[in-house]
Amino acid sequence: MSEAIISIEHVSRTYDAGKVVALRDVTLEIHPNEFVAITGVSGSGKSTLLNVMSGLDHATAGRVLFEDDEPRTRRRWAAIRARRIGYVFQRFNLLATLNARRNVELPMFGVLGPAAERRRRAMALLERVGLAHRASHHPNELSVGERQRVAIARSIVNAPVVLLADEPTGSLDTKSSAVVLSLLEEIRQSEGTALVMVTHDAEVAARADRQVQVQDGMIVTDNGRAGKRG
Amino acid sequence: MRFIDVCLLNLVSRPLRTLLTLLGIAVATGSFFALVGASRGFERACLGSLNDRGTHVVGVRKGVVDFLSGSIDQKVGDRIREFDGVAEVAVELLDVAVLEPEETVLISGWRPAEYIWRTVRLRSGAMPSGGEADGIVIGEATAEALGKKVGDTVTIRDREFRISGVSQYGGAMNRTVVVMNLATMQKLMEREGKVTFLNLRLREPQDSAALERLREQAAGPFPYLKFCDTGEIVENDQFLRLFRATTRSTSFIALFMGLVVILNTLMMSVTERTYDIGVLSAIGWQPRRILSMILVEGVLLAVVGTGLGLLLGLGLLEFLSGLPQVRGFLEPEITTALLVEVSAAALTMGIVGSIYPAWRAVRLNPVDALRRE
Repeated sequence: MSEAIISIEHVSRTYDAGKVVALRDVTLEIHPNEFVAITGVSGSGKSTLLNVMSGLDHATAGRVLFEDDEPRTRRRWAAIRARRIGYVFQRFNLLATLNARRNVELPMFGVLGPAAERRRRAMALLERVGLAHRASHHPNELSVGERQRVAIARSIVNAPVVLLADEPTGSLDTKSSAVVLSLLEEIRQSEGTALVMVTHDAEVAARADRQVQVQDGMIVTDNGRAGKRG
Repeated sequence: MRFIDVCLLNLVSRPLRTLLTLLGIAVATGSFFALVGASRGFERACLGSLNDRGTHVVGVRKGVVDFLSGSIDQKVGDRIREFDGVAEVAVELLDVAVLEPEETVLISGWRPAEYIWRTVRLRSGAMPSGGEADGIVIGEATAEALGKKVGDTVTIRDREFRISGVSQYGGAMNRTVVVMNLATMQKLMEREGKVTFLNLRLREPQDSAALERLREQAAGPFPYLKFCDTGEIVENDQFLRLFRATTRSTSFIALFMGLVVILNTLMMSVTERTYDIGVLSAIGWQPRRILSMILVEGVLLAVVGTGLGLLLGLGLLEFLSGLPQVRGFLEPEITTALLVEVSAAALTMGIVGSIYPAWRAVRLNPVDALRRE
């Protein structure tokens, strides 16, 4: 078995001085190149789990390891997100003031330079997602499917080892969803990137190697290899 | 795309707010520039008028609030002329008056045959003869403002004077000054036998100890007098000090307003961009980079606003120095030191005004920020 990229060990996340429990003693490992679907009803703790995995949110108990390192500062987590994690959001999270190319360039600041090199790489990735001809368009000039493809290009711009996708097809029509899912799977296959996807969609989840079901902040089923640990 | 482009695009994407902020900064720095420039221009005009006359040392009454309110017996000048090291003395009565209809000018009364008359450069006409009570020499700027020439008359305090000559000085104050016979002016101002100050020329002006020796000689007979070189007199004049302090404090208020404008704009910007900042954090931007982005935006606003402010300040200064009420009292000079001072103040304003908003941006929790879409 390969080394885990992300190890979550007995993690809990509570809010409001413990009155609200989002995650309860969760243990989970994510391995290279695997496709993990995290499912569950709204409010079950899926997104919180994804946020804790990426350091966007912190655990109130337990520990989160990334490639055997336990990052403890925002600065360290930011560096990991910049270089090792790609994040795809349900609502795309593109900056409205920047065009598609510039949105793709954003994660490369501090990672790749100079500006011409960033531009070249951003254009190559837009080409890859079929949007080179839309590079100068702003998000409000793109369809929702195109916006998500730009967001995917942005998420892989620094060649991450894991892609975290929070309901990436949640705002898309059927056709766009299919394009986005194919793109994510193609990236996983070609780059060897692990893919962790939060989804409501049973069909999407069925395409994953593992399905992890979250309920009331706990993992209730995990048909994969490491989830039953702890 | 360079980092600076991100900052610029953030500003350009909200053009109206950026423009209004720039205007606020421009008004603040322009006011600062004009006020400090006016204060220095006034001092420069005073200093220039003394230097034009070849004065090395000025004798004034101790404890007077301003240069013009001094009152010294004119006979004192004759005693000081006999002091060791003193080459020449010219007593002077100086005051401000309105030349009808409304030209505010400095009026200066000189005794006939004193050296100070030799320093006058005439553009036209001649000096009034020794016994000519109603003859005056007026500065070229005043002559032009009033449309007067040699032979014409002007009215001062209901008395008519004949222009016998038009002078041509380098200094702004002297370009407007009206010179007349001392006795005539004393009568006109009801200050018979009195002068405002003494102009002294030393035998060895380069000798740094000459002024000290003069002070020692004067200390006994004239303990109420103070002798200073021309720079010192401008520096220590209470009226000029007050003017300096007033313009300084007003200009700092203007700068403070500029700081509040930047602070307000960036606070609004950070609040509006909470979501964007959450996105940047989520894609791996370091807190330091987010902090730098807000600081750079503040500095960009300050730099561009200051550029506009300098143009505005130059216009204001030109406008002020051209007003009939102050013409001749201001000699605007744009020095590198003043430009550096204004730029440094504006830059500090930009940085200080951005620190808190930048800190707020860095403190944002990315998850909370992303919920603010």
